[in-house]
Amino acid sequence: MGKRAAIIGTGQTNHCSTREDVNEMELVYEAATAALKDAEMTIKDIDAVVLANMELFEGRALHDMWCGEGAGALLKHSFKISTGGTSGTSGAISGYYHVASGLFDRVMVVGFEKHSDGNTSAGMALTDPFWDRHIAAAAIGNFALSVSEYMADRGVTEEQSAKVAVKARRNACNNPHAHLQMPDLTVEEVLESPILAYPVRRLEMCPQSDGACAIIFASEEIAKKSCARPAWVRAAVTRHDHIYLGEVKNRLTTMRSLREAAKVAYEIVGIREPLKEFDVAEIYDPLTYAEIAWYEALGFCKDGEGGKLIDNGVTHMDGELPVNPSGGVISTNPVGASGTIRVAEGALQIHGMGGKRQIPDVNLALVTGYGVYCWSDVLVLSSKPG
Amino acid sequence: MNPHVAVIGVSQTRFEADKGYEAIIETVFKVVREAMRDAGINRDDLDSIVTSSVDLWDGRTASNQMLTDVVGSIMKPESRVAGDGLGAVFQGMMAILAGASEITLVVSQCRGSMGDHYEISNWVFDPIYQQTLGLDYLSAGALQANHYMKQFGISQKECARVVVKNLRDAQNNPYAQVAREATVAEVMDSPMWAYPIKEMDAAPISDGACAIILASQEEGKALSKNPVWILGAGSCLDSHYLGDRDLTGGDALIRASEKAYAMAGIRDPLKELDVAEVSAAFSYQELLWTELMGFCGRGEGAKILQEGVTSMGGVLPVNPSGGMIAGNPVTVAGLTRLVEAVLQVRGEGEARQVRGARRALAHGTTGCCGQGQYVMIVGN
Amino acid sequence: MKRNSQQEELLRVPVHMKLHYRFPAGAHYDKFFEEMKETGKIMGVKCPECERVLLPPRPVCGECFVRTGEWVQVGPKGTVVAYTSIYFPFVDGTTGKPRPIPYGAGLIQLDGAYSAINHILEEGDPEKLHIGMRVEAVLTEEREGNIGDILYFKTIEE
Repeated sequence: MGKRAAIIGTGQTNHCSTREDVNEMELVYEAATAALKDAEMTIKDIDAVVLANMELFEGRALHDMWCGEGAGALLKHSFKISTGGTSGTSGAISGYYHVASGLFDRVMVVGFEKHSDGNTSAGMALTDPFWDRHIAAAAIGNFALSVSEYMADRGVTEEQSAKVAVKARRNACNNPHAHLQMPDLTVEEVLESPILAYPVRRLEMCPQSDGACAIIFASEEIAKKSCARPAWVRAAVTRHDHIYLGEVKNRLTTMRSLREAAKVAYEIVGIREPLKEFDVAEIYDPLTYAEIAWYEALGFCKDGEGGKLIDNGVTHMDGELPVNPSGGVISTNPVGASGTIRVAEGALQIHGMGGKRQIPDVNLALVTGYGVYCWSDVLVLSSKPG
Repeated sequence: MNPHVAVIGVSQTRFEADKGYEAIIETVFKVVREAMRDAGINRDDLDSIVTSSVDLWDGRTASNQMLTDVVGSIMKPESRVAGDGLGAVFQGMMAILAGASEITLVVSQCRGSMGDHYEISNWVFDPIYQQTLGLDYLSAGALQANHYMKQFGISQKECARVVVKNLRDAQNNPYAQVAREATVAEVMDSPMWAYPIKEMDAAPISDGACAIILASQEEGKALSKNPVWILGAGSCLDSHYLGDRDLTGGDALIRASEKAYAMAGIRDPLKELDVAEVSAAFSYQELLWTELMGFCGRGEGAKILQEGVTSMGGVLPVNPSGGMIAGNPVTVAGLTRLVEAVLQVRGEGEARQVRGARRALAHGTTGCCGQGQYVMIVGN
Repeated sequence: MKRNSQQEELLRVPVHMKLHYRFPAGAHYDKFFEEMKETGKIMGVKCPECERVLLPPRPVCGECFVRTGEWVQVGPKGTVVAYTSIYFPFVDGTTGKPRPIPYGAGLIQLDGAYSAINHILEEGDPEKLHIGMRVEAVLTEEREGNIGDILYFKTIEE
């Protein structure tokens, strides 16, 4: 068995569509220094740095060569994890391994993306050059296809989808770092927003943000000494699946990689009723429909009942299991950082440092990552070392 | 390091200038199956997979996705280190030590023939200052070469001897892309690319792939009669801006190697190591890296080469495989060094075997002029 | 922390990306496109273990981790299993230019195939699209041996 590890500090930049005031390395630096401040550490205390981001969105190769220094990786062990949208959660899992392996005691993970530096839509289109590059409608087109299957299969409605968008953007108002904060957004407005790829509308999709997020993992001894309420990593599970969308039937509905990752993670921690046992969930919701589908995949409800959860307010701030108090990926999406932000937000809730978005008495938090249907990451964080 | 992680299976392709005759996934499937066969396991035994590749060299986004079928990662954990394959071994090793995996496959692949290697390497440099200057791995390497050669009074001919040694030894390596008897005069006469680096001083552009199977201490003992153990591992990142770095000071490599030696209990690498596989993209780098890893004093890399210390039959043969001069697919290079180190410790190096090798060093780099450095020590 | 708070415009450095690649297709894509070019047939490969007919054709079945086997002709008719209409100008990854909008796109399960494939639908009006509708591949007159040889899938009545 590995050694225990906990998150003892987190830091985020403010996320928005274009951070003109910083370059990408400075953006990373902003998140890293915020996390160090939160953990009451200096960079000298850090043994290793894991970076996480997409590569082609800014058109760069080996991003960590330039940006690593912004994360304080200079003269330390460092590498970059890159697994599509899961980069941020996979990077966090790698950071956890660093400590749990016993090789390092204090490890910083920084996820980052500066979409405004490049052309995300062109980057997304660079898929299989022989098969689907010429017809690629990127993430949105593939989502729209899956949504048509999901709606037909499970009867999820446009209104239920719109409610998720409203919940997310309103929650985002309590999060000073969030990109899209819309206190007055209504279901009608969401449904009136332009269709990008039928039936997916602009306000149902995640934005593209500039931003970075850092988290600091520590060994048991250090965590207990330096953090009032460490967020212990109790499970960290990844499952990978096929690249071609049509290779798995009803992909959004079945989402077998997420189901399997969650099943394994729940077994490790001993969770039987996720809706009751988790106090909060920060899940990677690339679009509204996915959030509802993930409710089902994560076992918050029976298959086909995801829509009811949002109708009944079960996942709202005052519901039985608040999902994405931060506003989620639908509100803030610097892709390489989006997973790291989920982990940070989950840890923040356990630290009790969530400010206006804090859920009372959080002891168990669920965190997920999603990467182009190919990867699902599930982490369980707890106030107890287990 | 206690407990230890074992390497129980290794495989590599032959490096070639252009493997256009087969798909990338075909190449990767072959090395993965061969590594599994070597380890005596099948796909169901794998707990996790770590890949290493870089999108821009692959010309597609999240390029490790294309490997899903052939690395056996359907419904298993897969993660990618976007950098050198030896870095991916760190990730695989830590997953095992963390108790998250018992058996882990590490794979790296690259097709240098697909794009323009040096043009792509320009995109490694920061976009505001160094990229717009037109720096690439070659021009930056030339800066480092001049700095090193001027500082220690090393001649181009002394660097050329590295090429002669490696090309000669590569003839013993069935996986080598370039292998032949060459002379110092030939290297000196080859076209000047970026002073003082000439065509023959540079590693070729290559296509290839490499795979290894890692196992926990328990599984390593159970599955393998003669597992090779990772005894020490160190890595370190240096400054990105060339002007911030002492280009020949090599802080990163000194730290990475010292950490690996400390873990492996090595005090005098020249005496205690039996063989070293070093990632040098240019001839001068092999001299520089051997100095920084403490095989000799500063500025003495050329001297120990001249004396035969680092040649086959010497005290510490460096690159019996021919090293990167014999074949250089980006990101695969470091993992190849580990495969070669493991083969040496197993005594399966065939014509390139260093007799009685018990402890071997594998070295990998990432970025320009060795910005990122990885060192691993393996033994039996 | 600052958030676009600086009033003065800061420098932006324009860098243009022009990289060229030669992708190795491999034997399976090579045969698939050659067959399409020469005969207009759409071919899948069958996994000898799970017996699924896979598209795109490939050397290995990822589920079974074995080499795929015989070639099987599929389509040209098929069933729409998922659909959308694209209203946002996406970049065509092969040309770098946006495709004219709106256009229909679908996952089409060709008769005889297991995998459903992504492609363009002739019908772009979402009101006229539905899951289960039957379609047929329309090929170009002058075929070049690439996926663009299938222009789109037209709606058919059966």
